[in-house]
Amino acid sequence: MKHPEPGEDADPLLGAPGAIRAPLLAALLDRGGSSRRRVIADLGTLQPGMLDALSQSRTRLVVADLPGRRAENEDDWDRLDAALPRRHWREPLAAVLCWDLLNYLDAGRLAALAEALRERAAPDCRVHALIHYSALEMPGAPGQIRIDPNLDLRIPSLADTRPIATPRYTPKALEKAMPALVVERTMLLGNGMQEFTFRVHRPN
Amino acid sequence: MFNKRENEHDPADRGRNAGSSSTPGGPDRPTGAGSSGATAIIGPSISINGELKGQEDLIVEGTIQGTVELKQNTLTIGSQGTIKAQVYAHTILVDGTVDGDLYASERISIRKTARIEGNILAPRISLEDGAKFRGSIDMDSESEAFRKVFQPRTGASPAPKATGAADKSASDSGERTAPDSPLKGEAGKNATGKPTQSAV
Repeated sequence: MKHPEPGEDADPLLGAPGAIRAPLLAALLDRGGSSRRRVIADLGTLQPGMLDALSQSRTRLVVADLPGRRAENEDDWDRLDAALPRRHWREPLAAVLCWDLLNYLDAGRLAALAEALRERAAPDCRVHALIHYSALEMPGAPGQIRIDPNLDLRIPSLADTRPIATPRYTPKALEKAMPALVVERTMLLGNGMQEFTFRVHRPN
Repeated sequence: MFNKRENEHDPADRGRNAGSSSTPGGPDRPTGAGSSGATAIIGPSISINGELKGQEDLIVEGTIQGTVELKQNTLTIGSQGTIKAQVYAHTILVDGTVDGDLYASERISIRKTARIEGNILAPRISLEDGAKFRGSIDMDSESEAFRKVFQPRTGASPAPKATGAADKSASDSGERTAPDSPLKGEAGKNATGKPTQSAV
């Protein structure tokens, strides 16, 4: 990753050394400011940086820890009804953070996840995901991306993991696999990952 | 309400004092928050099933199942401690295992050795990297959930019972009975620590 030399304009997609900025994630977490109560579902593991980032906002954070469940039970880790808020809970989800999880789901699981989120989402809910787009390999397990309190992301080095091939999902492939979600925005990040936000598709 | 007393030590200091002690009686014990200034210890071989109330700090290295109310004091769940309960306290420090809901009027500190499955509600929550958590975290002191748990009610305990009317709809549907929990399934336990509904 290239970092700016002194006097050189900083690349807005590069954060502190070793970190990258994820503008769509930052915008999503900033949405609504600090006065509006909201519920955010974090499908990843709870991180100190996320807690710090949300500490001044009126947020309820639901932590599903799907990577942890996957590590414990490879065959049965995505029992979403146990991990997500109840359907039609009186506080629907304003945002969902998928991190890099979608890269590890096949088409069937992508569809199931999207449908489960739609059932729990507020009308203006946005779903955020990070997709390995440029790289041919990714870490062998999800959930290793770390977030700093300033919302910079730290991506693990492949050398520290047992890499596997990435599915390199395109926006069209994701929309096809997840009919409950519609791609709203994408952005290519400084490390070659692609950042997505989805909105919920509600058929008339 | 879990009022903070004027002469009380800074809760953050108490938290630091409580530290991650797994050595009851050690220098990291909570100090003097309760009316008696004492800290009680439930040792590793002790198991309690039922309702526990008190007015002094408590370190748990054993097992508690049921309900814990330490309205104005600090509860430390030591590294050997296991709580299967709904907990209401002024400050909660977690080094051990929790399967239930934690409600603190001031602060919850989750240490790196902690394993928590449930819901936690406090105005301030700190987390060390390495801790395991599944459930929901609510730091919104203006929330309805916070008011339900901590708002003063004349002649009544500030801690709502698991069968309270506030959650009647959830109870009726066979779902979680905690005061304000969106989750069910693995994290869903009632006040006795028994699952209210199995995972799908």
